[in-house]
Amino acid sequence: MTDLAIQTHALTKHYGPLAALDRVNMHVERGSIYGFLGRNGAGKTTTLRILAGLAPATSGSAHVLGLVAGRDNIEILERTGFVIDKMLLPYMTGRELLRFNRGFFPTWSDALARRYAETLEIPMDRKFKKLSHGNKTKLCLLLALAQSPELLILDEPTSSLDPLVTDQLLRVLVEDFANDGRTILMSSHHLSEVEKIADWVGIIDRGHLLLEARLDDIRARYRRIRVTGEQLPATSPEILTRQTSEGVTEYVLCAGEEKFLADLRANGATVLEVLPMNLSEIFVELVGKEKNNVPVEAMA
Amino acid sequence: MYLSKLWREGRIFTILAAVALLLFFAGVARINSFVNMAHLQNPTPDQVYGAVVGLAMGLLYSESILISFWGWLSAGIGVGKNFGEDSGSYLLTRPRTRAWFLWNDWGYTMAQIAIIVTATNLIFLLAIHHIFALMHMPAAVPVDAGSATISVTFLILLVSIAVLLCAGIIYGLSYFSTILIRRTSGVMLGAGILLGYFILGGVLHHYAPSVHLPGLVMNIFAHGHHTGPQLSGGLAANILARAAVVLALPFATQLILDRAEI
Repeated sequence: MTDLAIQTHALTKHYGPLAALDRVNMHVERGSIYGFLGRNGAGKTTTLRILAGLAPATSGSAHVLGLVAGRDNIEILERTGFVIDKMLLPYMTGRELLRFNRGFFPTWSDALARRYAETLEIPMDRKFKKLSHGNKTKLCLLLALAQSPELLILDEPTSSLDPLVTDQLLRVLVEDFANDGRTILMSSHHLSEVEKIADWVGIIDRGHLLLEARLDDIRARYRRIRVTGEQLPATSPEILTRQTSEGVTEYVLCAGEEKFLADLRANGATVLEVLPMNLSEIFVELVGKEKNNVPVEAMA
Repeated sequence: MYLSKLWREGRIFTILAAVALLLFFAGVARINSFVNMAHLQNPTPDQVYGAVVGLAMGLLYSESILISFWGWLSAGIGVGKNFGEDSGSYLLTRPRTRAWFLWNDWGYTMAQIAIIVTATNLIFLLAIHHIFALMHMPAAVPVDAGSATISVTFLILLVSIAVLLCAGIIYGLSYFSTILIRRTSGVMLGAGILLGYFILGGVLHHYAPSVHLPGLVMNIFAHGHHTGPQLSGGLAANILARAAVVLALPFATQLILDRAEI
């Protein structure tokens, strides 16, 4: 059995001339919480829809739990909880939705459903269309969790939720689900939330997967370095960005900090600062080079 | 599970349609029969046969219109409705094939149509049998200038099949349209296609009188015979062709649904 819960190979999706996904190679380890980050329209939802069998890939392949997306959809859907559009059957109450769902999933657990309904404080006797946005999202998550899946795939689960509800949801995801060794793939552009719970991160922009690594490795590798001096290097594989302002040059490095610093010093440069970077800063450097449409939170 | 969802979405239509049809046709069958029989003092057998055939044809057309209208409304319930409500991705991430959802939708509505048509026509049939029994006549109608007879049961069976096929075509076409444009209002497209068909029929009738488009309601009897009712030619082939269309429509819908990106 493969150690990967999800694997895509050269996954490509075209809408007419537009490449929504361009040869994306993604690897989600079993038991991990994978934060799938990107701006609006970056290709996150398209990827998740292909994994769910809702849209076919133009080329390339995607495997979910060792099964081929688009071919083995029934098995994938039986073993994976998908929350994509956060829209259920609007005229049904929470209780009716539980009954409706139960018959579809051999691993469905009424006990789990009851527990999450209590934990998440969802009014189960109210029609879905009459629930608040937060309760709608919670009910979607409840249905996915009660099917006892091996893998949860969530598209922007915390978008437009208040901080309290967000915290409640994330706690359930981490403490109840992921701690059992199960896998979560969660797309988001709320970087601070992902940084709180994810152990792997993939950053996608304009259909290209720019980065995929353990969050700890990313934090350890990326550095912001401010230097002054003559004959500073303009490009090298480890330099992600370089900006000069008022005699101070700022580099963002994606690897090789020690060797780079040693080389700078050997060339007579003065190193003013070496700063660690958080996920938001890294995201901005990777994705927001043009500084267009970068989420406010990412800029903070 | 899924059928309970369909029942939930369409139960008002179903109950109203069933009650309306049962009351309407039971009433019509009894009242018309007795009025006709009472009006004709000591009716001759030919007058009785004429009244029965007239009633059967009245049943065929009125029932076709009512049931088809209900089938048209029912087409708005199902996967197309879920697309329109943005719950399509939820529904289609339940572990079933898309074809499973489609054939459940189709089978559920067609079964309801069949049950309502059967129940209504059984009441009608019993009423007619009662009239024949009162008149001590065998419950059969001579056709083809008296060269053959068909039982009233067979006549009502033909009526039921014709109604089922008409409603099946209208339901299937409207359902196809809801999947095509991905919302309940697709039924309007279905109605538009039917209207276009009628207009085309009218245009052809005007400019090319020899060309006749088949009507939506199958003709059981040939028109223009003064020697009594005459069964339409090629009735079996006509039934088979219409049944093929009824079945082809969900298969065509499946082709669209299987390729749809959600």
